[in-house]
Amino acid sequence: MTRRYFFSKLFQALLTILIILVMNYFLFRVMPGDPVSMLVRNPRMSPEATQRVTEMFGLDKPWYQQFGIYMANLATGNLGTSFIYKKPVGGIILERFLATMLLTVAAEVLAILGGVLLGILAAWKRGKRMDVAALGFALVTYAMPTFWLGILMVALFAVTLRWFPTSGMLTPALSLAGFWQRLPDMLWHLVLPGVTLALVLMGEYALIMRNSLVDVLTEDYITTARAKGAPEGRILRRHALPNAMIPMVTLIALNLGFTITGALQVETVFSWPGLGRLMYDALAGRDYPLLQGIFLITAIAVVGANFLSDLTYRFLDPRVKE
Amino acid sequence: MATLQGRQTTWSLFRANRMGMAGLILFLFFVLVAVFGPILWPYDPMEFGSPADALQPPSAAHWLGTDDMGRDVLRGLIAGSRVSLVVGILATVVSMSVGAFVGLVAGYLGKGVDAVLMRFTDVFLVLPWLPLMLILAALLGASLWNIILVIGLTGWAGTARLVRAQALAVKERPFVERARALGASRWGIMGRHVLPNVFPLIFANTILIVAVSILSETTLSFLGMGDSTRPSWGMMLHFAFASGAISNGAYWFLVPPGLCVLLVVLAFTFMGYALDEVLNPKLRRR
Amino acid sequence: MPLLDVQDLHASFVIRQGTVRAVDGVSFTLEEGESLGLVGESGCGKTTAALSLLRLLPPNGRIDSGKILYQGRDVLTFNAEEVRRFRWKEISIIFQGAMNALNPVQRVGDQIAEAIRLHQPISQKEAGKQAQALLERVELEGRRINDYPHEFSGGQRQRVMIAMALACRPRIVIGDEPTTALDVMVQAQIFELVESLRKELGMAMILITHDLSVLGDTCDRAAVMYAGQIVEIGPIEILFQSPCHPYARCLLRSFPRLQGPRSMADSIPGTPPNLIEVPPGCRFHPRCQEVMAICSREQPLLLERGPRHNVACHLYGKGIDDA
Repeated sequence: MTRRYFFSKLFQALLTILIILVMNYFLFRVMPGDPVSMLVRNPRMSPEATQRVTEMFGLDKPWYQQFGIYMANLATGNLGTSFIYKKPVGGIILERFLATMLLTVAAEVLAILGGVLLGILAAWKRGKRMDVAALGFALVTYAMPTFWLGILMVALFAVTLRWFPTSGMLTPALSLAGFWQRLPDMLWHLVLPGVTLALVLMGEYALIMRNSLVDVLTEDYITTARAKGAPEGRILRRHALPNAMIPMVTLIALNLGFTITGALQVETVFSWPGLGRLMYDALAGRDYPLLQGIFLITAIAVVGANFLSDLTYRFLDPRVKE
Repeated sequence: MATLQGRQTTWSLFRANRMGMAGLILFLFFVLVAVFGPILWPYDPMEFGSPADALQPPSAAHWLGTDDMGRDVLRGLIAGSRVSLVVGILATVVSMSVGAFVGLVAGYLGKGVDAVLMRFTDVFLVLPWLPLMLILAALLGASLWNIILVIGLTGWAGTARLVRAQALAVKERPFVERARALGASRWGIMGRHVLPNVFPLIFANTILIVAVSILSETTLSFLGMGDSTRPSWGMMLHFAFASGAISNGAYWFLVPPGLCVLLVVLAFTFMGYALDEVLNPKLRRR
Repeated sequence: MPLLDVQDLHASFVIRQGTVRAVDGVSFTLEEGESLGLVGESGCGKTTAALSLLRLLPPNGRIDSGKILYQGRDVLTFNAEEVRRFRWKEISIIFQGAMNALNPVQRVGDQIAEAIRLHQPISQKEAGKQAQALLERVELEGRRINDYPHEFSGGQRQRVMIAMALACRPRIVIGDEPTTALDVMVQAQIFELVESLRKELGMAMILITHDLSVLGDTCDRAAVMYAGQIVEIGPIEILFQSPCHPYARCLLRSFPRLQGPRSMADSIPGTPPNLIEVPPGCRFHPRCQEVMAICSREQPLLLERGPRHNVACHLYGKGIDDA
């Protein structure tokens, strides 16, 4: 791929991030009930604390300078201090970030595998029961609230059947144990939340895969491959799938916002110690710096992932114009 | 634009579509429940039962058991239908208005305005909607009107894109050029000529947006941003979760609210897809 | 024994409105090294007949009856594995519009090599070398084996298709309107290339075409198809100078080659029949200038008129006394 493509996509990504930063700033300065100024007017705050907050946010300076301070703060990774935890927001988010990544990646992998397989089956048996069943599955998982699915999973598999733990990432008793003892335990905890999130994503992936494959199978080059004497298996693997998978990459990237949203809900229900649970607690405690930080980080993560997928797409489809 | 002939054909086409009809029947069922239910079986969420009545399994007195406060789950469901549907529809109105406005302006005015608005729209499309909505909801405070506003202000991007595409196509048509030649103002043209022609094509999309809005409201309420004096289905699930209904195995409280959401969303989704097939015949049958 | 002997082939496909009898009793033979042209209006069944030879009909199509004898063996009785081995190695096909006939995400060299390796146990490297040589044979640069289809022009892509079609040295090559999408200059070059390669490798060819000038230049014999049947088949000289069947006459006789290709359909009034509900009698009789009473009742059989020249018309058959 050429440098021009790379830099053009990079520029777009950075521009998007800039817009997000600006949005984030205005959210908290311009909205009614601006928490920062409310905080400052809080009579229970000591004069020193008020002074500190005023200094930190530059509340006594004109708005463009405040914005400058905001950007400077961001550049140094200063996302403010959490009201609840009294620690820098950046640090808290970093701690929880890995847990969310673990859940999201595991679920995505499962969803992609499942979705692709289901999509292939549905396309192959187009119009028949398998196809209708797959479509039905996709519709139903799309229509149900993610957290509700999580609730049902916990109730059924953890509480009633007792096959899996009800919450958390680790059994508390093992928190001081060695890595190799913690790993299987963590995987055991990962199953329910991971499967829940995967199910929600899988439906749409299966649908897109199916439609994409159905389209590809009507293309002329499939007939050519058959005319050459290629067996059906090879046609699927070497000709149909590589072409059909291309829209999937775009879809996965576009869907990342939805994936994050799903992960947040799942974490809340399963008390998975990631950003989602953090968000739930921050919301309950009206911890604005924390909320703001989570929004920023997740938004930037999505933009970053989209950027990566743009690069991958170019790698998969040599026809993409530059 | 829709002649009597045209309207008849649309309806008969829709009627032939099984998915659409299934959706319509479900939709009508819930509308009836929402409109007449609370009148026939009034529900006062402030009327708590005694603690001993909390989380009781289904019985003759309470067909779907009781919730964490000893209230009848079925009555809560019926009352909740009104809240969930109304909030979903109003939120859609807001998001469609914003989206249509942005799309119309961008599509019709083109060039610089279009570029800026579309970049903005793209950002909104990419953003994870839940964190954004939660922040807005937290800032504005927990209430149903705020939820409506919040959902509307975050969900407009898809509609904007759709409307813009249609506006681009419509603005090239002869009758628009004639209006321009006659000296009509830009806003006049957009309002009186472009908009009415764009509308039928985005109607199907509107139905689908209602489905999304209802899901959004449910999620926001579950996370605590709803109104406890007027509990929606999402709010019921919030109470269920917070009160430990899960560990108590109170399926009668956990399953029905979510199931209702599922069915209503399916109803709107079916209708939306069916309408899309009927109104946009370019969509091939796969 | 002829190389290819098609006997009374019937093929149809199912659409919403009914079953289309696309090929309704087609018979012809093909000798080694001979080139046969298949001409007719769109929808007359030429492509379906050709695809049937390779058993490549789409999912809604099927071969209803008949025999396709290749070197004496009936292709229609082959099992799946035999069909796969037969395809491309014995008969290959150059599709119309190589725009979509080549896999867009696979390198051109790999696609040609694939054709080779499906029928010969050789290494990837060796197949790659052969692919390179083939590209050079069709007057493209050998190093372009690493290019993707979209990096070639339309004419170049067709050359790639030709290279691929020849990769296994088949006995018969089918050309399904291989140059329809190209401009006249490129068309001429492509045909020159195909002809020289064909003579060099001793391949027979079945050429489906609209273009009568090409027909005249490249084919030894021609078969005129109408509504799923062959109405006349014979040596090219006879067909051009004194065609017998009224339909063939309209198409072929008064055609001056100098003026380049011309679509055939516009000069004959009327439209081809509905192939779902086929009218009785001769298919062409509603549009025929020399129609007789018997034509609306009985279908004419394909009868011999001269050496390797057959016509299906009552004018030359039993009812000739009425003329």
